[in-house]
Amino acid sequence: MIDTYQKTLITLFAVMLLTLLATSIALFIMKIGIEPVDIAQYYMGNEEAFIVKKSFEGLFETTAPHLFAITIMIFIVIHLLLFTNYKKYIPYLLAGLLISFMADMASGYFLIANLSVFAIIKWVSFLIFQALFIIATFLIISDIVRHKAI
Amino acid sequence: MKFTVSKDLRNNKVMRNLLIAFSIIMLLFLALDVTNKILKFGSTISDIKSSWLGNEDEFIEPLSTISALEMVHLDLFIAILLLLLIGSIFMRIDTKLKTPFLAITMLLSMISFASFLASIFFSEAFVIISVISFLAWHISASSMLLVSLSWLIKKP
Repeated sequence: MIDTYQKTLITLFAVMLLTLLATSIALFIMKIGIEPVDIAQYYMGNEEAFIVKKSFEGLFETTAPHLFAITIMIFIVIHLLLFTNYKKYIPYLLAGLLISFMADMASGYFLIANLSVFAIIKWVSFLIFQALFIIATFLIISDIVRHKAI
Repeated sequence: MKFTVSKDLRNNKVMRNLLIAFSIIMLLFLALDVTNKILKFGSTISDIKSSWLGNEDEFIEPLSTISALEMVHLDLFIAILLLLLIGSIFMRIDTKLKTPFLAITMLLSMISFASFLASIFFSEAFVIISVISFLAWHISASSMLLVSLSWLIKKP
């Protein structure tokens, strides 16, 4: 049984997590763009638009902290889902989150190696990752809301 | 995350010492976070306004929207982890005020981030709200840690 305190803690945690996801989507759109063409340009550069190609070091500086931060967040969200009635979705959500996250992170490196097809992979994997994270967070909120506090 | 599920932490010596050390370091972090922001943006409202929104007379460039968003993105991540962990320890305190206390702390932190972005995107009037809510959530989180510390140190 869950008490009012736990309900408050988990609900506000989920709300803050959704805000964090909103900032990451906003940053992606503002820094990179919306379409795969923008992604390709951002990583591979464009002389006409005065966009410099991303360096390996620059990309690595973003990847390293994100590997830590996102893995921790996935761990916490899945850990909280274990206490809900949505346990059966955990393997699919976990696999989807990890695969899309790795594909998102790796695509940048393939793009700086001039493999432009990875712009689409990055775009799709980013969308899948954000969608799955939002779904997982909403599953936690919906389960918390359904529970009667003691 | 064993301490989030085990009920009486004080009987477990290792867990108790671990959480005492964690609480002390987090108190230090909260104090340093405030110090860091004061050193970065200044200690008065006019200094903070100049650092965030720019000042033509002093040739200070305003914060770009991307750097403001990046700052919120990083600070929000830290706040989420910190408040979840502090909240999990504070859960053991036997008082009716713990739920409003937790809710106020978490809401203040969200208000501080939202008003910071609002001050960059909409109006400088939000600067004061952001500064007050930033200080308030740090004080509130520190109080939660201090109460938890005194509870952890006390023999069961």
